[in-house]
Amino acid sequence: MAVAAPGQLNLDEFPSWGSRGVDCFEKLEQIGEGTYGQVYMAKEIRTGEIVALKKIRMDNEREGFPITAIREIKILKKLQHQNVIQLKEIVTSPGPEKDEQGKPDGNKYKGSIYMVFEYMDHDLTGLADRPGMRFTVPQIKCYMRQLLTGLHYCHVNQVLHRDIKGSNLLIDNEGNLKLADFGLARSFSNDHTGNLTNRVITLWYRPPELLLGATKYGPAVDMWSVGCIFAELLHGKPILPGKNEPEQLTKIFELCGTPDEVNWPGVSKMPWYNNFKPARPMKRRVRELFKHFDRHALELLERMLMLDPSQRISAKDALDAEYFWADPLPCDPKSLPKYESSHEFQTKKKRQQQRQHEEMAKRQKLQHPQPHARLPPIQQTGQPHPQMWPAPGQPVHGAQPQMAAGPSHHYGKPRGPSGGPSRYPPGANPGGGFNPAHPTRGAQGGGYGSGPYPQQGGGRGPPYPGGNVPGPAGPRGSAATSGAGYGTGVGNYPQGGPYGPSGTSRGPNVGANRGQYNWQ
Amino acid sequence: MSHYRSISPFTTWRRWMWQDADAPDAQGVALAVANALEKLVTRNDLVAADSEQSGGQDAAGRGTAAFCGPRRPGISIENYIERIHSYALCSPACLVAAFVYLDRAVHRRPDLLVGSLNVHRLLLTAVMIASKFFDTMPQNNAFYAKVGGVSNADLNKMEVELLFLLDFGINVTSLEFESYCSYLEKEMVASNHRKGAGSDVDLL
Repeated sequence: MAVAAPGQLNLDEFPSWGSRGVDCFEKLEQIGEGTYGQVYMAKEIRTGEIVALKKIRMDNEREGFPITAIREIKILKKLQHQNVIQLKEIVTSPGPEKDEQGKPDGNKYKGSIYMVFEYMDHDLTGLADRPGMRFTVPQIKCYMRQLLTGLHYCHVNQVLHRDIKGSNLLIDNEGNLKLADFGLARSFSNDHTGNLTNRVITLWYRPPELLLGATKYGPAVDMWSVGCIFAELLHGKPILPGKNEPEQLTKIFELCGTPDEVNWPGVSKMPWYNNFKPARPMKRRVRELFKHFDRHALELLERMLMLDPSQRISAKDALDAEYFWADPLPCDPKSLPKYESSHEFQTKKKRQQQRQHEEMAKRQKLQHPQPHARLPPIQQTGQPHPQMWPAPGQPVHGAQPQMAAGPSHHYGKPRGPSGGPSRYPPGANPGGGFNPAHPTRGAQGGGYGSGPYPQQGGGRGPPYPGGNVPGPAGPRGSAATSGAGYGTGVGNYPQGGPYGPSGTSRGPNVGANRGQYNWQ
Repeated sequence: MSHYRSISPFTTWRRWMWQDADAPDAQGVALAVANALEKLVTRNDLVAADSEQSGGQDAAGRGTAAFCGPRRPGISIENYIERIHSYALCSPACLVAAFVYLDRAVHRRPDLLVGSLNVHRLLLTAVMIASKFFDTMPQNNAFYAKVGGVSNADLNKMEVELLFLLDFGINVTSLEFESYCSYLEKEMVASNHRKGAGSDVDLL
């Protein structure tokens, strides 16, 4: 170990992270909330720059600094790319925080560490769920290309994101898309030898290999999620909205066909293959169900939604796909329309009004059931394409709920852990008289969010506490009040990290009985 | 400036990680880490005494005071490492990683003198962070506090301090790991040799 002489200048970069206090920032508004902690929009006093502050909750004394937060920080520090959210620094709040009664609390480091991120105006789901929002084809290509570029960068740096979904893709008013929320991310080695948890990725975007119990996997898991998002953008709604794991697999099989040793060599050896073995073989129907997509899009989607992860297209190859090089070409991000900024976040009062508004809208919808009505992209012809899937007989486009066009972050409401085995408790919400196309849309959170740390040990726990069950959040239109933008979902934040229950103590008293060394 | 870089790595990550037949046992690793720290502390205690005499600056600078205990603990570094390892059941690799963290910390903060007043607390915190990061089933902070003889709150505070001191750079690449293993091994051989030489002299 080398020892520098006292007083020797340290030529390394200094001051280090954490040297500044949170009082360098003026908190403007809370923009997310969850068990992880609050997320604030804030202004750096010196420069006037707007940032997002994500609080790291430190009040579980027994666990100390959350390992998941350590991992996230470590990974974000490594990644520097225009399509990956930038962690600018980490700041601390000086001294003990006071609780609501104004008493200083005993835990010195309680809740006083913040991650400082660049501020982004929207997230993809929030943007897509804006009433009347329709993406153009060049716009979708532009977002997809940025998503793939960012993801390729992560994969090259041996980082799996493991929670790719719309609400974790942040978009600013320059049209830039950035990957966010690396709370589930993890470094991997190329030989895939590690035993990784399969309780990751929000259910709708979770690939078949994880649902079949794989613990050795690689970048292909993220590519499945990308495929789901891609199809969702083109189709106008989530394509695989399973309520629980078995149903998720069924939906995948209905779309992609059932796996067998021919189309997925080795599938029968998957840990849970026999539990979920489909009763009857089904044919792959991607081309049939999405025949309204253009040829190149369909071609690319087919390769993203391969059941066998080893046959799934990589981010790099996807970027080379004909789709991105055929007319209409992806547009320049700068040319994209600027949407109403989310800086003007509603005050709490306004939010409450909106919630009331929402309630009313919901009641109306209950009387007049509306199908999901996110609009499919504008085609070159300018004609909306007919909705091909799923339910025949559904009206093609529901009337737009007239909602105040709010910020396009998913907001507020917590979501359950994405990792839990039963993310959507069966029958959690029987749903009124309507047929919800969006069972848990309202529960999607994300952005800077950090809800979805996988649950620990046996993964119990229906994610939605009692009355908060958003359940079938109702046909769309609830964007302004549903989900969580920079949200910090309620996800059970496992202080012990995602890999195995850390709480399983081997008898914490062992020290006490064998003569503790106490020299304080 | 770090001497370990010049040593060609010959101890492989796998030998230590997977405990092959010829891998040093956990006790050997604990001994090697203790040996290196022991030497450092001896040297730094002298430096600290010097700078105190000359009215130099306080050895415990900003942010490092958290680690400084009021007096020398009555347990040797070697016994302390073995104690942590045997109760917390962290993998031997964590002991090496803890050493890496301490080395990084002093590189980043030259005013952090690892001495007899703070080495135990630094070590405990570093092993705990390493175990949290590398082990699949790490013990929690409360457990480490009990094993290490500090309060839970103090340990949490030290954890945060050390994480910031390390600038959250807690990853250890296999190459770095190998280099440090080589260094520890070589130091171990050297000090055994010195001891051996001493006894030779006695025999004469």
